[in-house]
Amino acid sequence: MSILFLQGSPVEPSRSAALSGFVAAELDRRGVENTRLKLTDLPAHALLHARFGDPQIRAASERVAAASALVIATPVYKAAYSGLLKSFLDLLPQNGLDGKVVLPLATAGSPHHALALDYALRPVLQSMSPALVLPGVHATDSTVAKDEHGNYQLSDDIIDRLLQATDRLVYEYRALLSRRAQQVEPVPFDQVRCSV
Amino acid sequence: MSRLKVVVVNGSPTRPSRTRALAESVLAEIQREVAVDSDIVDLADIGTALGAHLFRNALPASLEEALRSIEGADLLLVASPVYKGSYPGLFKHVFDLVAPEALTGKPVLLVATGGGDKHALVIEHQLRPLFGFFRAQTLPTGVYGAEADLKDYTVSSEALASRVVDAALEAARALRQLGAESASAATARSARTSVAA
Repeated sequence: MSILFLQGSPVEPSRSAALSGFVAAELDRRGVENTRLKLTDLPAHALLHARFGDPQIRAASERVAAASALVIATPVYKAAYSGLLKSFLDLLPQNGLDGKVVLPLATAGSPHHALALDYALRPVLQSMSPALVLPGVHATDSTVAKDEHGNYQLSDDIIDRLLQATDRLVYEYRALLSRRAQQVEPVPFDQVRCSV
Repeated sequence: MSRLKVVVVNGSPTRPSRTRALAESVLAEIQREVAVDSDIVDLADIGTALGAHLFRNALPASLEEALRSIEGADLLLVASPVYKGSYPGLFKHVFDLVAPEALTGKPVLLVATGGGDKHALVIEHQLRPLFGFFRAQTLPTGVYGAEADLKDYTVSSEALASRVVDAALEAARALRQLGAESASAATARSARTSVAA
């Protein structure tokens, strides 16, 4: 019952991870539990050969199943998500996002590929039965600039958009948790003791 | 032998139109390469009337003529503005009235314009699949222009100008190939005729 970050960039450090890092820090500040799954930590051989039974793949898959919300960050490669992200999503069950809230984040070299978020990533996520895919945040490389110490500096505009996205994420995440808390276990008819 | 014909479809209902300006600059570049006739079907001219007609069989003559021009083109130069992340509804209505088999194999050059750069993929995600349905032959290079690339309704950025040239060269190649095919077909026909005579 927490928020899981999927980092879909094959390189490190990465701009897309800088976006996730910002959102994660903001969640920490608000006291929302969150954890991170770096897809580069998974065994490449198991990913590429679709070894569902590999212990590390299985553990990663269980972490996704246990999360109530996901923040999925990817660089835009060839006008779509990274192959690394897709190869991991391919190893999840078809309804692997069932009941979850998802926030997509993407970075790209140019603004020309902004629609990749809506036209490439969103249909993939939508096919996996999420409760809700929030509007994503797309940042061009110039708005996630590297400073002289090698750290990424986010532009004010991107910070505003990430803060708005975090607001939405936290709101929907809490709403999801409270809906679950209010859910009553169904009672079989033969165990009903009185009715009104 | 009649000349090949390029038909421009301008999907913008406004005038002046950046979309039309960009389409015309691509057309001009094509015509520097190959001598072709051209026609333009412009939603600024036919949009209002077109919106009042839902079926092909009851179109007034002028609209029927516009659709025949599209169907009869040797190469279509299709240009659309981006509305809400896609082509305008009226643009789609034009192609909803085009016969499904009429564009099979036809070379189509895709052009789009939008407020900013962020809608560039509209060419790949919206326009290209539409012509995929028609089994048309969309040319590899699409041309996308943002407002900042089209100051005063002319191509004002170098990047866009070079993209226009790339796309026009592809179109010219497709047209030359069509010209060569129709010439060799004519030669074959006349050879058959002379054998028969």
